[in-house]
Amino acid sequence: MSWHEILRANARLGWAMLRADWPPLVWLVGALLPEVVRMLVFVAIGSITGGSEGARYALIGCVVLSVAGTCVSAVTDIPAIDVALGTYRTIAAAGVPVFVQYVARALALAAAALVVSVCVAITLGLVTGQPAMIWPLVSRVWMLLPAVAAATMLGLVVIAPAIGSNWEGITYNAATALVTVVSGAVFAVTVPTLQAVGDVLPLTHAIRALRESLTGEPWMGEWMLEFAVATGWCIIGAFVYRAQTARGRRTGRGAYAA
Amino acid sequence: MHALFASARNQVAIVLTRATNLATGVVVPLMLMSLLTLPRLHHLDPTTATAVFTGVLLASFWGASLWSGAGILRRERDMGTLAPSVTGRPSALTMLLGKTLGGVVFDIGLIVVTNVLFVLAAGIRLRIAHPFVFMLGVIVVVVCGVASSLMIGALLILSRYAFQLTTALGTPVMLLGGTIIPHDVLPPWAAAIGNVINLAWLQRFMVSTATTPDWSALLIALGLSAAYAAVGIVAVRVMLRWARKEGTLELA
Repeated sequence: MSWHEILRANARLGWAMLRADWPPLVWLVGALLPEVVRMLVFVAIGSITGGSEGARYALIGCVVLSVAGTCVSAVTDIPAIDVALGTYRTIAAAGVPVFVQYVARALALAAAALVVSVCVAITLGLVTGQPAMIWPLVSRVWMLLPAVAAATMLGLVVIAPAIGSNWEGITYNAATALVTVVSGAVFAVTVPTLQAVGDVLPLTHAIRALRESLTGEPWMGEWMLEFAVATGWCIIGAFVYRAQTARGRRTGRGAYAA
Repeated sequence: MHALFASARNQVAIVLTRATNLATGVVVPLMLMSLLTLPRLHHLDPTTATAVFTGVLLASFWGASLWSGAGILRRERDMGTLAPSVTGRPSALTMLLGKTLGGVVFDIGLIVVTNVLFVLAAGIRLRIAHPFVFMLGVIVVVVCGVASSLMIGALLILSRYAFQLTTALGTPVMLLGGTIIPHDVLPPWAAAIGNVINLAWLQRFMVSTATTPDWSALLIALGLSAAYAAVGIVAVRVMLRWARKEGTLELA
């Protein structure tokens, strides 16, 4: 198979797995609804800690943050399932690096994440009494593309060292929680250490870009920084999976454990 | 009683090997404490801080009980150990109560330690006017937690979409349960729904320990938890009938 056939096959497999694991009604009840309510909890926290201005601040942030549940968390299932089924070694033998194949397989989840964001914007705008925010947010969902890319890369990176071990569950939970706190989605981060961590993690710059766009300020700089973060995590992912595959071949552990 | 505590010890031994419990017992409380305290760290009064502390304890415990305590039966089925666990000399209910107790005690212990370490590290002052009443509240949280975990675990195993339903149940209760989001910021209809959740009344009691204990809230929490336990026991019986007599549990 040529490289583009391999990538197309992975993209189709990702879509097929999404439909098999999450039939529409199950996805609605088990994925979309919980994510919308989770974001509603965060907007309520914004309201508690910052009043109505805090609620508006958190609403904008949560439209971006809502991609983390799918991109950072659900994406980690891709390598985990491969390892559990013992198919990692097969795909590692293909002519395209494992990490690139996984990125192709994650495309369906990335698309689902954008759908979640639109639903979050509409629902939260209505429920929190900010309907005027709905169209400005929905019409800017395309601005989340670098955030989706960066979050997907992060999800694939954090699970890599843990696959085949007992630590899979904590990696993506910890990564999602860290992004939630330091990205500035719910409240403005003022602690310098947390700001520094947030700057190299996904979503932070996309959230800033979205806020700046909504207030008519120049946003391209922050948006490009989110692309840079995505690129950085992509490079890390390529190295991590190369090392993971090499370790598996050498020791039979990790990705080759099944 | 011996079987109850043996089951509890067995469950603690199981969860000690599962890193996922660190996610629900450490990561989630740290995230919630950060979100609720960091934006107002310099003007957080001790009474509000106590409400945040207990709210995060209860909200995190809810998440933990879904994935840990209520997941006991699901994991037993997935690992193929359900049959020996429910067909031994001790009754199935005793075994399940013991395992749920073990899971709940472990989860609450881990969350309390995490919350305390966060409060100490961030220099947050709490106000607990009645420490013994507060401790009593924590014990009641364990008792009520066993009841809700039993009910949810036994109900969820009756569905083939147990995993997806577990994710579906988590956040709505976090929103409506009156733990980290007080009922007074919700619309009245939403708060009314939240009033059937025992966590809401437990939170009211725990918050009241900062000033004057609200014993009626404690009684309502216990009453609701007794109802949860009754539903749980019925669901366990249905599960046993499907598993032992009709052999259809795997098809659920």
